[in-house]
Amino acid sequence: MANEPERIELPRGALEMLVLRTLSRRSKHGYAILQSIRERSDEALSVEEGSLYPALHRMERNGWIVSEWGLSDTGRRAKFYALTDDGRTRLAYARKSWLRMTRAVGAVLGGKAAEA
Amino acid sequence: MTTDDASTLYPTETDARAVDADIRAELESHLALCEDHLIAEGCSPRHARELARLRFGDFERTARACRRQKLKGPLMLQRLHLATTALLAAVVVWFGYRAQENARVVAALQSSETSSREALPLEPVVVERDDTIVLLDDYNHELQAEMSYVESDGTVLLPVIGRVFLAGMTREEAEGLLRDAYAPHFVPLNLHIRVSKPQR
Repeated sequence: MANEPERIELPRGALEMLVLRTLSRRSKHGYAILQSIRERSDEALSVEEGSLYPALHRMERNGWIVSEWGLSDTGRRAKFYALTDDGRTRLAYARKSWLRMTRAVGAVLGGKAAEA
Repeated sequence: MTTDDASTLYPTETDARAVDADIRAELESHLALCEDHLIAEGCSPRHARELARLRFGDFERTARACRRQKLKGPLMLQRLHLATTALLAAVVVWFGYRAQENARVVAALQSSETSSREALPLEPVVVERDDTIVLLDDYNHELQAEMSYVESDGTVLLPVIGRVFLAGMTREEAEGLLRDAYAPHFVPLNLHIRVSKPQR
């Protein structure tokens, strides 16, 4: 276990789900989204800026989120993203799929995990 | 201001520049927010700026990736539109070419049909009074292009063999009769005849 990396590499599609979940309560700018994911995962998940921003633009193109320029808490001009109805539907679907998959994977690994 | 502008169905150069400017402004804003955060944690402004840039990674690469995502739909649509237009143009050109070819073939067939009608009449030509009989024999110059009229008694006066009754015979029958008549006089013989009707 000591040889495992501290940061977890996100599987494909997980980033979108995390972003949607982060925006489910209120709109946030890109930097706040990164911070939120980092803090909520106890620093285990680190999303790179090079992945986050293209993903935000892709999600906006898909109609899951919308953007609007505004001011941050520190008075900086920033682009804020908010969830749309389509985004909420997508989040519900992705969350359900993810939980089903992790339960299934957990069930398969359960025996070995117990042995370890 | 919402950046999702539905009017950018086909992005112009101006639209693309506006998208680029918007993306760069957003990424610069991210760096500034990160610097603020680092300064609040105790970093010097210079160190905060360097660290923020370092954490961010390749700024231009990220900007390009964002631009691709932003313009993907419109650009794909634009490419599809261009490809469809090119395909339609090719189809139009192809059909135009085919139509020209067809017109040419039809004209050739019509021309061929006309000449066939002249050469091979549907009804047999029958020799009649006032017709002109032309002898054609490229082996024998004495006979070649000799012309005679079918007189009122149905006979024609021909070289060597004299007067022969041809009225009422078909061209083929008359030709056969004349071949028989000329055969003793011309060897070899390659006789044909042409029957011309008088202009009415």
